[in-house]
Amino acid sequence: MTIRDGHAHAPDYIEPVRGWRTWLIVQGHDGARLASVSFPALGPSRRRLAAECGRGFHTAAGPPIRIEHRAPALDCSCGIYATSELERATQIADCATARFRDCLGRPVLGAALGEVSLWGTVVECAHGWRASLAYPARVYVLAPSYGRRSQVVGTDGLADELQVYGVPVGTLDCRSSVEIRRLFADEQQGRAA
Amino acid sequence: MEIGRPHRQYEIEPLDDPVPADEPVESPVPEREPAAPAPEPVPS
Repeated sequence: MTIRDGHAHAPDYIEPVRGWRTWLIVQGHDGARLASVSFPALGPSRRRLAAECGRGFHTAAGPPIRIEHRAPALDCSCGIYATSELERATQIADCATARFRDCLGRPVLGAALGEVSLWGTVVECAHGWRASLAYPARVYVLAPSYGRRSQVVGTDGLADELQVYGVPVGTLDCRSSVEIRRLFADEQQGRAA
Repeated sequence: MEIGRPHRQYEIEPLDDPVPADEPVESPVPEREPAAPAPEPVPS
């Protein structure tokens, strides 16, 4: 039951949305942690990640007007993002692995791709969602050869450390986004067969 | 991440929490006091 305007409302859905997401893997104070590629936030283990908005509303005309609101709002760009298309997540992985060297002042150890559960307030968009609450559903650590040849920690070691999230964690021995998409397409065909 | 224009907004309240529960902490087996010796039979 959700409280809006002082009244209790039944939820619209009772299953979380599942979308694709790319993470940086960052050295936390007690091991590797998942972090956003676009916002300085570490994903806590065994606790949901809650969105906050530090931006203003985007209006159709004129500059954004800053109005306090709960994330995500329909007229803002805030919220925890996920895409409905694997291809978009792999494109972000292409950028993230090559671009980031540190996050929140901590060294970036690698990158991961996977599915995330989204719930709470959810804004559905043309190619994905923005949500108020999120938690990883399954995580694949990308191989060091995936655009990031300087990765020091091996994928198996990182996958072991990310077990703290309590969700399935694997590794992807792919060297390009094309290989990743082919792998998941084969997996989907295997499920359908 | 570019996810396009928003279409609609809704509320999701999952029946099952998507966040896994904390791993159960194994409670140590309490040490038992050694059993008291059986009382010797009283000669009648």
